[in-house]
Amino acid sequence: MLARVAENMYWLSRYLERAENTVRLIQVHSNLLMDLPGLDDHQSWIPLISINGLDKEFAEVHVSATETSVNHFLLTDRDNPGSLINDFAAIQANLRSCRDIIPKTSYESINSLCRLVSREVESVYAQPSHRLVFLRDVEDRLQSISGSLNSNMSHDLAYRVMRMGCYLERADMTSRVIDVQSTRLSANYSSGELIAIQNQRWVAVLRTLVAHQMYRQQLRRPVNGPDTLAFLLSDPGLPRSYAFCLNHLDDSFRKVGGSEAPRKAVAALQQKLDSAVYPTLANDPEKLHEFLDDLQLGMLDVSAALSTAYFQSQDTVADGESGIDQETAVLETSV
Amino acid sequence: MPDRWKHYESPGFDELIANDGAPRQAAKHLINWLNELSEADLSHRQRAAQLAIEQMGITFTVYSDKGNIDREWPLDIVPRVIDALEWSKIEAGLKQRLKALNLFINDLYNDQAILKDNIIPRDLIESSSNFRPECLGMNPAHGVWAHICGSDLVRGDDGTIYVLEDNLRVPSGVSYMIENREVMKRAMPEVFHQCHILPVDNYTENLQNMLSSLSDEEEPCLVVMTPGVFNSAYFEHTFLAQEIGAELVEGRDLVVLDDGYVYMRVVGGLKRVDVIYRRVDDAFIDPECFNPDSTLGVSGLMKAWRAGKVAIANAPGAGVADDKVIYSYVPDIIRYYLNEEPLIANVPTYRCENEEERQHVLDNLADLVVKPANESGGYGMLIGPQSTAEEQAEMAENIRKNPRNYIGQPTLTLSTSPILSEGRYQPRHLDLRPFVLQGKEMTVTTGGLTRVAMVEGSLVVNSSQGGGSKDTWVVHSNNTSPVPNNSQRQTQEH
Repeated sequence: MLARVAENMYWLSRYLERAENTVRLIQVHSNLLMDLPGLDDHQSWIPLISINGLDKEFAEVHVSATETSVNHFLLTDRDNPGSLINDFAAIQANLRSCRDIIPKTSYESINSLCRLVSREVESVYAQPSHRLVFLRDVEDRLQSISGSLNSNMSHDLAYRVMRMGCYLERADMTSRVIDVQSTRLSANYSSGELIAIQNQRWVAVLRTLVAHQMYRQQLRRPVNGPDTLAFLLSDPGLPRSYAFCLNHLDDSFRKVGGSEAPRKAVAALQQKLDSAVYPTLANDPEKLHEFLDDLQLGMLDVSAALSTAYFQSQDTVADGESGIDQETAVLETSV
Repeated sequence: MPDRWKHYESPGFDELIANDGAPRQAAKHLINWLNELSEADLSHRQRAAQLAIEQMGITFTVYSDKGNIDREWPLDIVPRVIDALEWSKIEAGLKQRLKALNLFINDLYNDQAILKDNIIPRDLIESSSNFRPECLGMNPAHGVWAHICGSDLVRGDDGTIYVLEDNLRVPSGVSYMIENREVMKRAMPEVFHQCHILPVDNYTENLQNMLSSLSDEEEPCLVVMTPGVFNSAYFEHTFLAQEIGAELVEGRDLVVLDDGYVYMRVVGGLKRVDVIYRRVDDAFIDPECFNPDSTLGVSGLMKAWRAGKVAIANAPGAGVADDKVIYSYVPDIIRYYLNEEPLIANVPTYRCENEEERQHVLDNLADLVVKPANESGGYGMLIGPQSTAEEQAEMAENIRKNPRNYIGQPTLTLSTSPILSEGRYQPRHLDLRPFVLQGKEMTVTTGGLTRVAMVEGSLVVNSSQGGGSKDTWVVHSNNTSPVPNNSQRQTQEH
């Protein structure tokens, strides 16, 4: 596969995952707010902006967060580089360059979805009930696209590159959600409150990542800080846990072969997770924030390493030496 | 007949409806089926086709002041039907024509026997902007230069089929031929069971085989070379790359190394390329050899091709036979190389270079069609009966300035076929572009791309200028289908 096209595939996949995160985040958060009475408008809605790391951009155009301003900014604002409509513009641009690689059925689904979003988002963002139906529809379609790619594409180099983009984006989102929802919500409750209320914020974190049900199935004890962190960061089976994403990244790097640099960057992050003491982090928002920040920096190293290893042109003949098998990219059962 | 046919009358020959108003034999099943549809059902089919085109992302790109715009491919849902018997004759004629044209191109770049024998004047070739002296002495595989050709066919009002022009450089449209069929299968699936429509999707298989036959490698590495995402035919480039399992490369993805071979920049390094199906014009493929400003090409590509390290389709220089003045010599070319009479006629053509013929063109500008020798896409031409005195004067000026560059032809009353417009059938003029592949073997598409002028009376079918298209059915008209006898699938026993 062409290095240029591989990079398009990688970004296509990242933007698809990002769009899915955006639409899910807004749905879950809207739902969550109904169970958090007593927060004012700004307190309620600003976390969605912070999770996406867009505080500065948002403050430039809005005085305070309201349901309408936040949804407008995250869904239809063309000046916001992280808005859903811009996500889909990027999806369409990347899709154009890798149209010949993507299975036709998946191409059609992605293309139809791009059209749907640009046609409808403007008219639904301000009305909560229509918005939620729309977001649900977009999420369903994105998940069916990911399923159709999984079952219609050869699990070869192109597919692995897409998985890389997906897991990198997903891990990043998990660390952001924990960071914002745990610290932001804790600041809104005074220290003397009941443990039950304090633990409410950890429920919020779990629910934002759609992990509440899985948590209960697995842990069978009341939600608490240390267990929540361990579950979301280190659980090997939860698809949105940080460790799960790292394992899959490493697996993709190993199967594609070539430079060791991306795997080393992943190993550094894995070590960081292994050495984390979750009870301490859960009780010290400052330390937790620092820890999550480190994870995000480490993930930037991973993305830089993979970009150098796979997308930058190296004018040497590929056969054998690079260790990257163009045709088959090693098929094994995944971890 | 339903009201939709009221006042239907072709100004010339109609492809579906005979003079007595009855459907032609090959179109009988189709027309009967269409006539049974209610108005609501018919417009539902039309919308279904439109929706399929949107979902499948079948587009073409138009250049405009506001940048490039992707437009949905225009398809009329009434197919154009050709009897398989007639088609087999056309197919034979196209094969004959391409065989002769490739012998001709190969001769021009090697022995030049046809010039020495004074069949074609030497200065006509040497003054052709598509004649490439850089290609002299080359012997591409199988002696073939124009591997992919799209010849435009039209039918006059007496029913005769003519070749209007041969596109031997980078002809486009074949992807739309295949996608039109896909759309029709979604929009009216039932009708396929009733008519015996020959499939069109074997083209890509043939294309892959043909391209592979240009290399000695057992499993050669094929690429499709595109000018990039902004090209008007980019959709087709991605389509063909996908269908033949080739990488879709741009010039910047390719490099010629010291060993003389062409490589592409893949993940982890470079990979050798054996065959390039290029969709970039000659003038831009190698800045070292042709246009030095080209950023679309690859430095050293011509050298690699000349050294036999890579095959290029169509071969550089093949466009020399695309010249519309040379077109007028094709019947002579067929006689010269094959010692046969042409099976498909040329449209009578006046060469403005010849003084007598030029005068005839100048005297009859209001009745003739005048075309520049080396343009495509319908640009720069004059359709006499539909032109203003001003346009005619401008054309006369152009002809006098550069007579070598113009030809004149009588304005044919192109045949028509019904299109569905505002719920009624209306006759519109059309042409047909079949595609011929030649490598080790020669194949012709089943039918081709039918392009149709959507405006009443118009003869302009180019999609860049508002033309539409139709699915083209080659149909065995006197066949009955045997009922397939499928064995039953196993089910669970109770």
